[in-house]
Amino acid sequence: MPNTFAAIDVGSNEVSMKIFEVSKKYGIKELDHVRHTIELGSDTYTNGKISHALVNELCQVLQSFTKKMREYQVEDYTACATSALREAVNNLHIIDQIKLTSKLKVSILSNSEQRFLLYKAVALKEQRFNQIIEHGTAIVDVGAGSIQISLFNKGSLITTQNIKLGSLRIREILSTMENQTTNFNNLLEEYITNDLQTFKDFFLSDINLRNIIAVGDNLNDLLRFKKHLEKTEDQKFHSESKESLDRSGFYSLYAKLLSRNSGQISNCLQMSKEQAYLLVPTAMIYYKMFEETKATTMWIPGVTLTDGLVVDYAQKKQKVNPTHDFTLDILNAARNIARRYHCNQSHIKNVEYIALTLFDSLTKLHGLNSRDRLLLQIAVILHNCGEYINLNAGAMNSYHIILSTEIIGLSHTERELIAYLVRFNIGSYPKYEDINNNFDKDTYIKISKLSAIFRIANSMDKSHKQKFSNISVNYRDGQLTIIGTTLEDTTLERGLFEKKAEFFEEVYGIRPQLKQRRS
Amino acid sequence: MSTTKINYHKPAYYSNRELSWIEFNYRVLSEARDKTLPLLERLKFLSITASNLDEFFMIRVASLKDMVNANYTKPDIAGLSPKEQLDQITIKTHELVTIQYNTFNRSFIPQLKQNNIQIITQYEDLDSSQSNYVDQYFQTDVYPVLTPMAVDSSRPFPLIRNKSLNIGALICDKKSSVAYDFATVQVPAVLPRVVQIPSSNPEVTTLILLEQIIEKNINKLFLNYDVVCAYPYRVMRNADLTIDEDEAADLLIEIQKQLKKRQWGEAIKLEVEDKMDKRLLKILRKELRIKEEDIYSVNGPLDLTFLMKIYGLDGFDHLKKPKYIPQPVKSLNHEEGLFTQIRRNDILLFHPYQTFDPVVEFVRQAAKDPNVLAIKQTLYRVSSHSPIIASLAEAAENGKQVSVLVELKARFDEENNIIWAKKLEKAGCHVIYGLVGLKTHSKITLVVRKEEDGIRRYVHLGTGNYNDSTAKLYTDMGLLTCSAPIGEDATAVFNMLSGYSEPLSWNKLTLAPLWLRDKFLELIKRETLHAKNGEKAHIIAKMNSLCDADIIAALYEASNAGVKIELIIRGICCLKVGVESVSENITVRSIVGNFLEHARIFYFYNSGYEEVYMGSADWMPRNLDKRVEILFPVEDENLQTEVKNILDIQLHDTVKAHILKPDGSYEKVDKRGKARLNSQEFFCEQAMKEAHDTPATHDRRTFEPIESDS
Repeated sequence: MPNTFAAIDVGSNEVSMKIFEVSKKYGIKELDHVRHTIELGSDTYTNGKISHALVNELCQVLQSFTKKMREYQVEDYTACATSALREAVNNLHIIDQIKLTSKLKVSILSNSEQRFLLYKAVALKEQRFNQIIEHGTAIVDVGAGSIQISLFNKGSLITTQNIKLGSLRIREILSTMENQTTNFNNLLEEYITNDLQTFKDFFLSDINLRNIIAVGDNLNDLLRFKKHLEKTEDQKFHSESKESLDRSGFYSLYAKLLSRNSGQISNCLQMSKEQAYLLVPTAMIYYKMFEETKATTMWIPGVTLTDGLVVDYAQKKQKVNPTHDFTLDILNAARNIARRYHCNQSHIKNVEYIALTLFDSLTKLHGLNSRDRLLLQIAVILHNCGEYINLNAGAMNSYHIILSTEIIGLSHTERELIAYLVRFNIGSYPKYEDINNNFDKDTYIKISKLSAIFRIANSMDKSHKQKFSNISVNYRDGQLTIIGTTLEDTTLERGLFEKKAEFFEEVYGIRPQLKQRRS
Repeated sequence: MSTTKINYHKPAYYSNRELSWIEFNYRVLSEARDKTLPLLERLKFLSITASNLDEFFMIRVASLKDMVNANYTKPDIAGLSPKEQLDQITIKTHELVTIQYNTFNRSFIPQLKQNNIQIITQYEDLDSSQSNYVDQYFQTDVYPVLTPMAVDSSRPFPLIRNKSLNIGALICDKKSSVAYDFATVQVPAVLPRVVQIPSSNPEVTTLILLEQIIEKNINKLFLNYDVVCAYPYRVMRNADLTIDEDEAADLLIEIQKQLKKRQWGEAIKLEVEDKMDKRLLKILRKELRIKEEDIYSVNGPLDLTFLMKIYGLDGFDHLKKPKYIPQPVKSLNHEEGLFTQIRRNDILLFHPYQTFDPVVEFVRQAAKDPNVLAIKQTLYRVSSHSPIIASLAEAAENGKQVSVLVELKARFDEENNIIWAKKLEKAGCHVIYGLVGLKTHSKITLVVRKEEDGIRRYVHLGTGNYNDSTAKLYTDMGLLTCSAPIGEDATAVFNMLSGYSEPLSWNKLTLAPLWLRDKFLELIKRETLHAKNGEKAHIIAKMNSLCDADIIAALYEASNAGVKIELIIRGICCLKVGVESVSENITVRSIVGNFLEHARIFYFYNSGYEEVYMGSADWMPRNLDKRVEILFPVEDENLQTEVKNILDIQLHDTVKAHILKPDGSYEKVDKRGKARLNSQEFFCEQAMKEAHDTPATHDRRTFEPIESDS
């Protein structure tokens, strides 16, 4: 029998839940979709926190969601919140109140996790995804709070950037000026253009962008508006398929949209005025993307965060096979960051090789999973990016860079873990009490374990000459031996290895031996 | 076709809905006057015209009176102001009442007598032993529950309850005997109106009306007075239930309050016997502040609804139509569970020809089935001991998620609805007490079931209420299906009813008040377009009432473009037929028969890609704008053919069909050259034949060997 799964999204202007059936045989099937309009973002973006009344309403809606979950005998769920809650100062209290009233555990997604989930959903839903991203492609995700632009080329991710330029946020910021101008749309455009310019200068210059994949909260409304026009005015918009629009098609749709006020829009689409209000800024961001690039097609796969949550769940439960290698995307994103800071690529490659070989050989010893392996790998990739700033205190600088750089697909905690791993790659390892952080003890142990491996691996390429490009690991009868085949003099490495082995022994209770084979 | 654009909204192209309704009541009355019908059936129809008229006054006339009082002068669809409408209604209803009493006095009384039923309308006609019996009955049964009230300087005129039958009397003090006072006593509603009394001839059933018994003994109520005269009277008051829902914090409490208040509205109609004492009438007129034209002086007993009681008398089956027993549904068997059978095929139900049991069974099996997770249903009017309510309660007790939308605003049923809504809540059901500003009129049930390959949804959609009693009298259609797109839509319907935002899109269902009007207009326009392109175009629509101006205008436009439009409308029809360049291609027929025509069916030819819809909505503004209604398609080809056949039979009815004439009146079908066809009887016979033709092989007690022919 298929599993039933509920995905809940506490968004900036809507709380929604989708119920899914997930099975190997039938894949992912949507059973139910409920939505409730509630402008949490509007409170957060103007007052910094969410008012009592809205919190109550939110709790009530979530409580009614739990009823619905019982209705389908939901076995598992993920409930998450995005920027409205993330940025509200009272978010922890709200989450606690939700837990008390509905027993639902809501987790706040970091921006990068949120975008990654959406992107996963796009990849699963849009069969042509792999085909589309062979050419320059931007996934442009316009949320209520911010937009995320992820660039792909030749089948893989190049970069992803977040710009605090969401539809609701723009409206909130500019609403006070609405009465001072007769052409509000001009004001809007000026505001958006400025923010997009920086992005363009940095990232769009050396890529030939062909496709825009549009995702986000208001896209469905935009599609409905298109359908409405097609029906009532017999207008055709150029497109290759149902889920796409050509540049010219989008331009004429956009022109139609600008010619109406939000009252008219809400009338013809029979939606609330609040929702209609967000349509113009959303469309304008896409318009600007077309203007600034040579993109010819806009794809609208119509996915929501809840779709991403179920894809994530289904993959974890191994009910569906990913069509696209997402881990590779995360790694690519990390490598691009490393490249930006001119890290030594061959050194990274070698340490990566040693660290991962060790990790894979010692699974019985450390008991960690593939996700932890990925974190270790990213830590290795980014470990000396801080040297770009200052050769002294490189580790500390790397730590700061990692903390303030978004890496798609990683949660905030994971990123912090990586930052710590990098920071304590050198020097003495801190005691649990000395870590100025909210890691729990298990995470602390995990960092220690990864760090022990990382330190050993790093020590083995201290000279940055990749002397150990071929190693084998022998773990038998409580003896751990790393055998490296090289003709080079390895005194430096072996000396350092001994130091690091001490910490390894502290963590694992076993002292690794490094042996050199010269054949 | 003229090239100038015709204004299809011109008032001259429309009939007033109230006058059209009165026409409908005339059609019912014509059944009472149809000599080919058994006598008691005719009595029943007369009784129905009386209760129809009561409701019409309380709702429609009352609301027009409100408008006049508020100086509201906006003309209706046909260009009549409220005052003009009232004036015409008054003339028409006085005529109608006259025919009612002519029928009663000239036809029924003598014919009943011929058939050994004697109704004593005046107590003076009793013989002595009957007289004694009546007095005795008064002493033991009636007297204890009477509350006589006299009016004098110290006691004000009492409040006379809406629709209650009363006896007014003039009394004078035995000592002074100078002036007279007014006194009144209500004929108690707790006692039967029709009382059977002994007869000298045992073959004859003798009946007397309760008010006659009281009148006969009225002096026993006012012992220190002389009773000058005593006559019955009846008052009708403004009863329309209008609640400002934005202000009502708790809808439930508000309705309960309104229920009590309802009895004390303004008096809009006074019924008296034509021989009533003039002094008595004058007092009533003054105290009730009633206008001359609103007084109905009748030549016979007041409130003819008592005739229904006579219809119910035992032992006179030969004066009635044989009772029809709803037949089993041909495509359903008893061996397999309903869900299994629905999975195989969509199932069409046609009540009352076919039994309502599958619908009751649908909920009952769902309540017991361990795989059912949830049941959701909208309930508008249900019977008093509804098996559906019992099943829903049981389902909740069995741990299923049960959501029920109970429409508290269902006319005159509020009290009943509140009782069982509370019962359901107690059992653990999630009860929604209607929607603010909207009546939920749709009839939909959703069963969510967990099956081997995942969740499957079973849906029942209907044109009539979930009421097993009225399902024996109303003709309605229903569909049982587990089509995934309809199931998804059904889920979305209940999500919306629970207050969630509308779904991103609909698959098959169309809902009022948001989408239904547009959908109908679109469907009509599509036929218009086809006709304009020179293609064949045809619309058949069956419903209870048609009075929406936009729809009618669209039909006129379609007619003018050459669309053939056949309407089967039981009640109100504001559309006019035979108007040149407007409605020449439209015919309207009304079927008034033993069963109340209630199904709504819509057929569109659509260039050969025929579409058939059914639903809960009439083409009335209130259905399209102020109610939650559902229109659903019949897509299974076989079922489509069945529904088309049903429409076809009704279009060929020559017995119970009345054809709308250009002047707004109705005439029975001209039978010349046509085969006699009574559609309702035809459907009865068809259902019996189908049920008979498909015997379940498992029921047979003998085996049938197959042998070779040689």
